[in-house]
Amino acid sequence: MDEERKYGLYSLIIGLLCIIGIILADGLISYVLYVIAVPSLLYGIGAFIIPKTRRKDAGKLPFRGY
Amino acid sequence: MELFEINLAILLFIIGNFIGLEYSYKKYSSPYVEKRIDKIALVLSIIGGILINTPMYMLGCLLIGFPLGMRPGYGRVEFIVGLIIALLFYLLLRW
Amino acid sequence: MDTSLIGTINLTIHAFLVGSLLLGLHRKIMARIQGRPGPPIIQYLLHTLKFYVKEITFPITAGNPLYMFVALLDVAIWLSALIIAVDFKSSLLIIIGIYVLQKIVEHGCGLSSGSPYGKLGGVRSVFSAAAEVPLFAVVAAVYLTTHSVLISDVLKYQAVNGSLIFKMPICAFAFFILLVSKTPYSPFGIVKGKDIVSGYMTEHYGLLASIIYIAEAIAYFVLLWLFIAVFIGPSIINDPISTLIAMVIMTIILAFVSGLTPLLAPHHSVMLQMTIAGLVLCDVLYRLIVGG
Repeated sequence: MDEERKYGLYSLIIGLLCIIGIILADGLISYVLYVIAVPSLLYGIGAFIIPKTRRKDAGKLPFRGY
Repeated sequence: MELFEINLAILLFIIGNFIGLEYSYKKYSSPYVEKRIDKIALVLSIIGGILINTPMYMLGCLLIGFPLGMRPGYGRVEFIVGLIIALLFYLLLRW
Repeated sequence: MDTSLIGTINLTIHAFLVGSLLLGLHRKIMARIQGRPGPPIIQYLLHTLKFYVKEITFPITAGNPLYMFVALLDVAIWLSALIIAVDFKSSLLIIIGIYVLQKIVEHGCGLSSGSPYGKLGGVRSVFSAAAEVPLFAVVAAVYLTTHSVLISDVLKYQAVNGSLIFKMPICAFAFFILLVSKTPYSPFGIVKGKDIVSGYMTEHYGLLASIIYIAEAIAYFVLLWLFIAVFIGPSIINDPISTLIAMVIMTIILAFVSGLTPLLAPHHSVMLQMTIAGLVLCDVLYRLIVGG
């Protein structure tokens, strides 16, 4: 598993935990969990949809500077 | 759930835009042509302009999105005709 | 589970769709002003969806996990701004705090990638902190007039006394300048100016760019909503349809401003923003002396 999907898996787990929290919790805390859950799920789901990189040396991009 | 209905209408509007884009790219090949009226788009736009003031306003959004979404240079006159008809009907029903 | 959260989910989707369409409309009108055909108005939305399924790789110079985390933070802060402003109609001071957090996102995006263009974008973001000074001054002036910083109280005040835009035109102008600096291709858009490729977003591409686009659509919606709520009042903001129409009109005005003005150099941009901040501070002083 490459690094992008590893982080995707972490954020997917965080997002799912937050959803469980939203279902259980009540009041203001559910809004806080919602704010955490949405971006985590966005990245977590996206990381498993995107194709594997076809670059030769991944990470070596143009515009490398300081 | 008023916001929910508006969301549905916006979604249908976006789908209409997308269908218009696909349709015009399939039908026309020249990039930018002024002074040319697409009959299907004109009819859909007029129907959409009428429907948008009725309880079926969601379908109206879909239809009026069709000429607006067409590729650059196409569907401008059609959209403006539909918009003017929608505004006229709105004013007629309001007063 | 809180049932009011369903309304919030609804509002989030609404903000994303409306913000995306308005940003597309902004681009289309700008193109028409400059004599180009321009893309269709769903282009921003199509970009967001397209990039969502594009590959990413972490650059070797990137500082992870910050590189990935700032994009998520961007969505999180504007979602909280949306909830606090539109849903709860709570304090304007929290909105200022969130706007400061947006600066952290810009620095983080620019500096974590290790790209010179991104770094320059991050540094320019520090300069353009001058855009926030009018915001503080506007909140001070609003407090002096309405004796509250809660948006709900400001709305109540306007329901009785009429729109604030006629009572405090200078503050409305300063807030409008804030909106101008937040819109893309604006004269104050030094952070994402095309002379530094895409500014802080240069090295965030693919999925991460899509996430930042989602956040920017929500941000545009929230800022327009705030302007309409604080300065025009409840007569428009209580009805979603009239809010939409007002937002479209605001977008047309902003597109004219962006389409007809050149991009300022960084020091000119900061100087102009500081001048406007000084103007608003004079207004605040006057209100302090006269008493509201």
